[in-house]
Amino acid sequence: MIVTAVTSMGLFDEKGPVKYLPALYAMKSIAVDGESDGVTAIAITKENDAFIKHFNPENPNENPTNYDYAKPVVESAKVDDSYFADALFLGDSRTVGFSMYSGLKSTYYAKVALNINGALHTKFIEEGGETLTILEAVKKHPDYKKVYICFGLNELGWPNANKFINSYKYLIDQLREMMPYTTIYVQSLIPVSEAVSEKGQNGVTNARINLYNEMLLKMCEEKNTFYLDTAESFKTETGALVSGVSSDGIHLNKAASQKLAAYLETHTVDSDLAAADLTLFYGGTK
Amino acid sequence: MKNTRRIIAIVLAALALFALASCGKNAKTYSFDIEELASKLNSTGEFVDPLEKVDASVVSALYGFSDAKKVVVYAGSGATPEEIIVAEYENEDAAKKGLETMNARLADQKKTFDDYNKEYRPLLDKPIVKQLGKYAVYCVSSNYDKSLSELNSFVGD
Repeated sequence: MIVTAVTSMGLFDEKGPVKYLPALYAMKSIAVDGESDGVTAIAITKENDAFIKHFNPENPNENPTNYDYAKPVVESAKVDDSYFADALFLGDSRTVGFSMYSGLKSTYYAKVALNINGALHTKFIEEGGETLTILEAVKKHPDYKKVYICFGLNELGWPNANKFINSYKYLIDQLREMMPYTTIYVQSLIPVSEAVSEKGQNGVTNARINLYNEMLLKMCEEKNTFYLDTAESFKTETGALVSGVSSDGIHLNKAASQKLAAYLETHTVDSDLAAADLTLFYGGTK
Repeated sequence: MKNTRRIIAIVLAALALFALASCGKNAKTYSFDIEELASKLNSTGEFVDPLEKVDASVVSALYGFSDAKKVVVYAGSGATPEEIIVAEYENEDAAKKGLETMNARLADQKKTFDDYNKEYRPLLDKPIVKQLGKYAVYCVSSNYDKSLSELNSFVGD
């Protein structure tokens, strides 16, 4: 492959973009410096500490921080509200409830009954006299620094769970293409109450939720996105939703939404790690 | 003949003026605290999914009643379409537009609950969507009659 251009977006060959670079690195890239894996590596100025700290030019495909994406984000120091000012939340009715009660001032593209396919194709975001899909809206506003995604509840009854994951991966790919510098958090599915699970209406059972969460974690490992095990603080010993947090056993009330917000505030990745996360796309071929 | 026509015209004009005056006399001017009304509807109404007051900054971001002077919203967790919205406007014309926004929300909610938690869909067939002077009121509860009676008693209708 012949690299024909190095831009702020990545490497391009004669057919177009082949490697995406994270913002911090790409903007600082100044020269071509050797080859690795058939692709020209980029030398980065020392101004970029995160890059210097984590990137190995001998092996640009290596996970620079050895961050284990197969594990959930661990507890971190509490961030203040400003952390969420440039965050975008995508999701279904649970995210709608969260938007109303969490107290986090962010942007929410969420809709009751929305599923992962709807996230790709349903037009519901009103803007300037237009009604847009999530992807169309993001295309207009690609400047969010963090995206929190929460889907799965309305897809539990799908006969093929892989279809859910494949659509989820597609959504992440599309977002990455429009927001290559944005940190993507994937939220686990919070369990439902014992009663709801026993009823199993529309496939909504905790066994199914556990399966989806396992698949989401695996997807995060594959896509280098950060998995948030939000379910952990809402589980009883038997894996059901704790009592007192929901009137219907599915949707979280105000107090629980605020508890979830507190979880997000204390489970963030630092900027170095987020930047390193993006370097993985330097190694990823489109 | 000319005189008869003139007399008829004068009589009609007088009747029209009288009718207008009567209308003006009967048009009720509403004045109330929307916080109080919304709270009252919430505390006395019947809701499967308990409603909570939504923060004002969230209301302006999520509900889009940008022309209103003030809006108070009580909403549930998302399980049902139960909801209370009371908005106050500068004048009746502005409130008319607010009512349109509420009707649009009702239509949107009907569409959503056609396929989602269908057991609660009938609640949207008996909503309160009402303009009271410069106010607009939206209330979807599990007991329409009780909510309506509460509203009427609060505003003195």
